Amino acid sequence: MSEILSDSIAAKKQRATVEAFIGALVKGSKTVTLYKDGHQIIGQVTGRVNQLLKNAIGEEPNLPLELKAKSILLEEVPLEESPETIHFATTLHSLGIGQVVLTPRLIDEDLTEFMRLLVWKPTEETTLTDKQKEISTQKTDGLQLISILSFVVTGEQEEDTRNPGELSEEQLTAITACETIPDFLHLILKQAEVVNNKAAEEIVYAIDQVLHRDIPIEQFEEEMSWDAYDPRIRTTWDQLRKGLLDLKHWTRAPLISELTTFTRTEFEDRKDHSIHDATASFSFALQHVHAVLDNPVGKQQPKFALYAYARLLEDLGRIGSLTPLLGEFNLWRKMAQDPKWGAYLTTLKEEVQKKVPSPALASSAAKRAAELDGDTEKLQALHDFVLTVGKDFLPMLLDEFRNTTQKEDRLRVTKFLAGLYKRLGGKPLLDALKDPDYFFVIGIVGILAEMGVDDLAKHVGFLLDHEHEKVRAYVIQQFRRNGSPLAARELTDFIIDGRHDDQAQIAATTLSLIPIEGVDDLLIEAFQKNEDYDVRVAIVTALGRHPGPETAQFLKQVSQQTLKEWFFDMLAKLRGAKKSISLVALNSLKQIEGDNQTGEKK
Amino acid sequence: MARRVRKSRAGLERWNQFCQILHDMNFAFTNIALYPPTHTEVNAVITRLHDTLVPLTNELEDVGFGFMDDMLYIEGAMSIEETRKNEMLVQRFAKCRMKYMTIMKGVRKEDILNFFIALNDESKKDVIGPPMEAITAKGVEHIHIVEAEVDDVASKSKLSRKKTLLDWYAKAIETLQPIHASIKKGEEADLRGLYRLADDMMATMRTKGYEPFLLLPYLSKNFDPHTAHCVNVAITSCALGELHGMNSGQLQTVAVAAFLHDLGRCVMPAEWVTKQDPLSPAEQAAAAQHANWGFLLLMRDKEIPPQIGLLAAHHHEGPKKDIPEGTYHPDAFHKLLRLADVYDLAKLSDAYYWKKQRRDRYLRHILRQRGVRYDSQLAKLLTQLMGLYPVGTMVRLNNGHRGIVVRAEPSNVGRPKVYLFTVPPEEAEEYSSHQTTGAPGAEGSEGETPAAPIAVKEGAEVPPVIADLMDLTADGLHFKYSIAATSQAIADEDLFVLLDEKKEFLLSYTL
Repeated sequence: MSEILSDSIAAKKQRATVEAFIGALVKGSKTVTLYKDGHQIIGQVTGRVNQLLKNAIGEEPNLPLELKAKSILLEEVPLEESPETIHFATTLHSLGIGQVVLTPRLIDEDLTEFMRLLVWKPTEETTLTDKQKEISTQKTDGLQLISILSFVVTGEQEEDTRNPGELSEEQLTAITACETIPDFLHLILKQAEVVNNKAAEEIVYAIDQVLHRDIPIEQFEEEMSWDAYDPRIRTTWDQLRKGLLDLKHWTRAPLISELTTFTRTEFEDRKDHSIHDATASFSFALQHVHAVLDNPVGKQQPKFALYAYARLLEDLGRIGSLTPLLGEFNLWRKMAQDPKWGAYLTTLKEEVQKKVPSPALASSAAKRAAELDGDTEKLQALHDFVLTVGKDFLPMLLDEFRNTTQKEDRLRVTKFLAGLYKRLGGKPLLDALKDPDYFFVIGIVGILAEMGVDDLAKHVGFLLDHEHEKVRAYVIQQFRRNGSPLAARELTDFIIDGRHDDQAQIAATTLSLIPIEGVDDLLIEAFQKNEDYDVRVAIVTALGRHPGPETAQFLKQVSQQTLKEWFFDMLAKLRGAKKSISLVALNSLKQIEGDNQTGEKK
Repeated sequence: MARRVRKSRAGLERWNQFCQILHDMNFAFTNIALYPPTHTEVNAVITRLHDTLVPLTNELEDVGFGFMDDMLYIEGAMSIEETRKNEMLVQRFAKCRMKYMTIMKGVRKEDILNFFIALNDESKKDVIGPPMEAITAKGVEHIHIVEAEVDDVASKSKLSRKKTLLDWYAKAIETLQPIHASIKKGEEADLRGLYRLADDMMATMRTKGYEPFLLLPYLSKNFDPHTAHCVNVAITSCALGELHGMNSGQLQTVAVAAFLHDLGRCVMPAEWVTKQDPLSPAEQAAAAQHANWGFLLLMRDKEIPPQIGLLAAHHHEGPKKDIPEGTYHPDAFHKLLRLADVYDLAKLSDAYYWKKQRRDRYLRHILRQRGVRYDSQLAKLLTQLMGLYPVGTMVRLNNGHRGIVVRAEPSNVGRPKVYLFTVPPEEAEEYSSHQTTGAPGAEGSEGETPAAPIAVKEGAEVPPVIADLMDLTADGLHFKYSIAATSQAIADEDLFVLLDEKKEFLLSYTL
């Protein structure tokens, strides 16, 4: 069903293209008569109409149109009537033509003649009968006008039964006399073109292909229907080809033969359009700059080579291509002792610091740092590279650090940056502590801690007042590791401050764990100045880690509740406190005494 | 006139596929104008287009459609039928000043959809901007548009303007010179003009053919020699690339590289171009540095890709043996550019800076060295492009008439079309081509159906007599004419003057 449907659509399409062609042909014929022979418009109009003819013929070998009075029949079905189809049919009918067979071989000049025929009018010199006679004997390549008389006699137009290779002796002589392959093929082509059948079409197609670089000459030789021709044709072909193979000195004819066709190898070579991709081009460009810098000509060339070099490095920086940049960096290190390169490097360093830093490069550097866990030599090289790229690169690196969220990567980048800032000094990091991004601030604190900054507490202590609890928690955690008296003081003040009592409990524990003298005093001070029940519980618990007479004395006091303290204890229980401060104090006291006894036993 | 290719069955099938794409594009423009982009009608046609385009672009790398002189071109051939059938498409293309569009491998459905949305939106505006910018703003990838020059579309009738390709050539030089100067000074050059130029040339060659372009170097005079050389090399490279089967993107790249390849010559003393004496060895060494200078100057400009600089650096290098892995080796662009460059320079010795040999002699030199200094199949393609008697060569026919080769015939390198400047008018009728030769300003006017008859003006310029050496005698058994030998100018004959007199005809696509 669908096949029938698609057939009918195809047929409709074909009829439409034929109708369009006839429309253009008739209109064009009227235009053509308005101009003198040779006028450019004629060529243009005919060219257009011929193009439409080829579209109308499509894949078929020809387009047969049958004329019946004022109708045109295509495959026995009349075309839709229009002024043009009526004109076409009636004019040709009056000239005694019963059928027109158009082929793609019809050239523009002959089509022009046909168009003139469509507007022809009898004159005194040429009567209608004269014209009818003339037409019945006239032969036009690519066009058959079959008169009604001959139509009756010979029946319907059929495919040409001639063998396209059937050539007269005169034709054979002319073709075998050709000195070049293209001349030889062109003559065969022209003889085959006039034959209207599939065999001829195949020959024409094969010749067209080899002459228009679509197939190699060897393939043509294999596919050509040599058997259709007199053996002398093949012999001539073989001689022409052999002439090329045996040739010692190029003369005009073999040169033309050789240059017009492609061998299989050349054909394959022609398909090769391989070009250097962007990466390869870049690498070769760098190599070329190196070559110029190694052997510059004149005084100016090194200067320009350095500009070019800096631009290429800038490109690498822009796309974050770290590996080649590290390669270049290694080269600079190697060449530093070379007097020529030594002079270049000063200029180059300035250019590099100006042009190479980029967020993409920072991203690559951070990624590389994350990959280099423990490889101190490579990490050191990366540090050296970053320091060469310069100070402007560091904020970009910190920004990249800001975006590194994966825990392990962050730890490695922290180590990398700590190593870097150890060499540079941590001042820029301190400024970053004021950043509004709490996560970033935590990271900076981490870097400073990793750097082992002596007075960490001095620099980050203010962060215990940070609005984000995670920052405060992280600083408390770092203070435990840092363990300095100043850290202990900062923690005490934080507990006393009382604004973040939840974290003050952790701070109390942290404070108790700092291994310095006088922590017990600080805890007692904090206890006395912060009245929050839970904070006090935490402090009392923490004091259990600090045995000593003063602590014991203090804990005893706390464990012996006054009425007031009993009341607060009850109140705290009602509010959900899990522990009673006096009991906790008692436990801490026991712990201290236990510790003391253990100490004494020891 | 556009090239007419005899179509095989496979070729016809391909042609029909291209027509189908045009129909669907026409349909898509209509649907986009009628429905919202998410509508099923829009989606259906976009999907259909995508389904047709993907296998085609996978096979051909890219698919291109030309639109010049209000006429649609498919595979380099004009199609009146398709122009008539696809009114909406034609209207949009015309309004948005489209000259050529390339759809590349990897095209996505969203690219296609956004392309239509962008052009549809653009066409509604009073002032139409560059179409490429409009589609880029919509995030379209894999579709490239070449925009027609505003003055190209300003007037429908080129007939009256007598515009020839020589105007294009002059404009190319005018565009290129300030770009060269900016790059030399280290200023940021506006390269958009250069890319437009390359695009425009590529589009015209792919749409209408390269043939008339090859005559331009012989019609140019009083232009800066270095810049003119760059334009000539770009023309030859692009045409050679077209014969080589390169895709649109590759042709554009090779054209840009050619326009810039000899930038390094700007550091050479200007008087060397006219210097009659040979250069000293030191001067020769300095001249040889122009490639390095070109590279260095180009690489200073960060808008110029390293690939272009690299081609400038190596454009004089021939094939080498035993190239170490990872080091530079000539690629397809390099081979093509080098051949186009040496052909235009036509220099047999480095002793002279700017002494050009006759092109036919130089071509023979290339042919002698093919497979050794020049790529064998490219040298063959160059000969097919230019002819064994290259375009611009003065020849004598076997009937004694002298002429200038004006068009090559790739299918028979020994049988070009020859402008017979010695044939008297009374003998002109013998040459059939005389009958159909185009008239001044006729290129690109094929699509214009004359609404009213145009009378042939009395005293109008006589068309040149053109002998097509592929013409056969009436019996179809022999070629009417052949070239007997190359010829020299006699007495006061001047090749430039002879060609210049008939340039409107000779540069026409209707020749």
